[in-house]
Amino acid sequence: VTLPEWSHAFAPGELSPTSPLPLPEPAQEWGWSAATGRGVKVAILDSGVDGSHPMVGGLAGSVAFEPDPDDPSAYRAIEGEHADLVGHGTACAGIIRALAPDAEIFSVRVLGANLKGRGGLFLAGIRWALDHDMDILNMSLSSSSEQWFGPLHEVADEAYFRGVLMVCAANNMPGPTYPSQFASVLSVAAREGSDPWSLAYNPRPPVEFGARGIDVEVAWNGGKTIVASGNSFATPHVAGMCALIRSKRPWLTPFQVKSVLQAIADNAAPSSDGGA
Amino acid sequence: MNRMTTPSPAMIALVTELGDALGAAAMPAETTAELARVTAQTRALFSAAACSCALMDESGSELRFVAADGVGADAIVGVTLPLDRGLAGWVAMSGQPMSVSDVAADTRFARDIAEATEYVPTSIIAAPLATDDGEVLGVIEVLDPLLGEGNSGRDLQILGIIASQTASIVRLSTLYDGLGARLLAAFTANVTPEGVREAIGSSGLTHGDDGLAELAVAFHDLARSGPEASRFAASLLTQVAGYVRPGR
Repeated sequence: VTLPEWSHAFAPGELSPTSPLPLPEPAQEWGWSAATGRGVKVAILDSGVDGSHPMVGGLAGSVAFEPDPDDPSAYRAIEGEHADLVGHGTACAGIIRALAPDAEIFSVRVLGANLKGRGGLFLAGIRWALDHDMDILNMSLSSSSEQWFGPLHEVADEAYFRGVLMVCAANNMPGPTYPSQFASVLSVAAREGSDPWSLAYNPRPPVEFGARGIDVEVAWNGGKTIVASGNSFATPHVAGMCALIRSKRPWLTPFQVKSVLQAIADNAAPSSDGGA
Repeated sequence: MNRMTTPSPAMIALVTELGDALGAAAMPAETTAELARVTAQTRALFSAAACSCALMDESGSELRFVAADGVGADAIVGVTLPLDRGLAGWVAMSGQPMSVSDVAADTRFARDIAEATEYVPTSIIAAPLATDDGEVLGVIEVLDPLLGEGNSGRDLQILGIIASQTASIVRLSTLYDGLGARLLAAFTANVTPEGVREAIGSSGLTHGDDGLAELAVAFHDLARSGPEASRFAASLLTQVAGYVRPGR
């Protein structure tokens, strides 16, 4: 049994400095200063989003995917407003809104009343997001079964080549998790601290980024807030940062955005190759 | 009359091999007893008010609490909740562990448990029982754990490991529980050796069980070799199926 990557890698004593590309300092200034997320479409693949929650402040669109044994594709898409079944999607939306206030947030509900065909719904949600020109996908979910490795890998690659950023929660348990372990996505784990802008780059992937995810006050169903922890809350922090970067410099490709995040990370150290 | 041929040395060797292969089937204690131990130990580990474990039902739409320890344990066991309700459901759906430190702020979380146990926790840690290949079999929850100074996420990590181990227990128990029936179906079906291999593969015995698959094919061949050998194989497998499914 391999130990979980996430809590280990981002612990204060564990995190080693990394050598990012030399962006103009301070890197945040270059990356997202004065950006608001305007013009960036962010899809939240989760349990739905309550757009009326004060911390969410409205949605640009919604679609729900449900299993449908009668349909050849085994699911159906229901466009239009829907409820958040749990509160988690609303929590993610609230975090993204706090970081990127002008981002256009879409709810893509892929978690529902049945666990069967879960991987298929994830895939359908990602497909929808690609077909609707989303810039960023927030996926606080993972751990699909092996049969979905291929299809999810394919669509993750497609997203990457189309310049779409898939930001996925790492799983903190042993074993494969899709799509968070794919190199084409940004995988995120929780780290301690109360700073929503805190960010670390893990030089020992597959989990590449650490962000705030412990004891976060988040939006929840019923217009309320709760204090919660998990990689799934760290993920929208990084998605929010990506929205800022993309709104300031829309031409950045996924690998360039990763490079900007690496340069902004708390453990970024001056380049060791002496080439500055 | 159900007359059998005298088993040849080769058949006896085969039976012995089958016994060895399935011997482990009798080993895992009943799942619920095993899970009761897991919940008791986990509750103690976290100095928590309670710990409970729920498994997905066959349809994939409900979680059923099968084991619990601590406050309200007797009341919560047997309770089912729809997947789209509350924290446990989200954890199962997303495959992600999660903790909430002030549940009271939203009683929706605790309502399912509170209805059954009349106990409303203020904090919950929950993790999915996910197998190595990502299948979510259920959820384990810890109510009001005594957390250390400063939440570092370590508790979530520890519960994640426990959940992963627990998933292995559940998977193995389920697997062995249905093993006899699956083998019987495979052997008696009028299929090719490839078909038998496929049936064994679909039973989940895919990793490191090549010997068992070969054994299945051998039995299949035996069953095809003549009416008496076929009866013998069927009779033997019926007995084995009965043996690995005690209490049925």
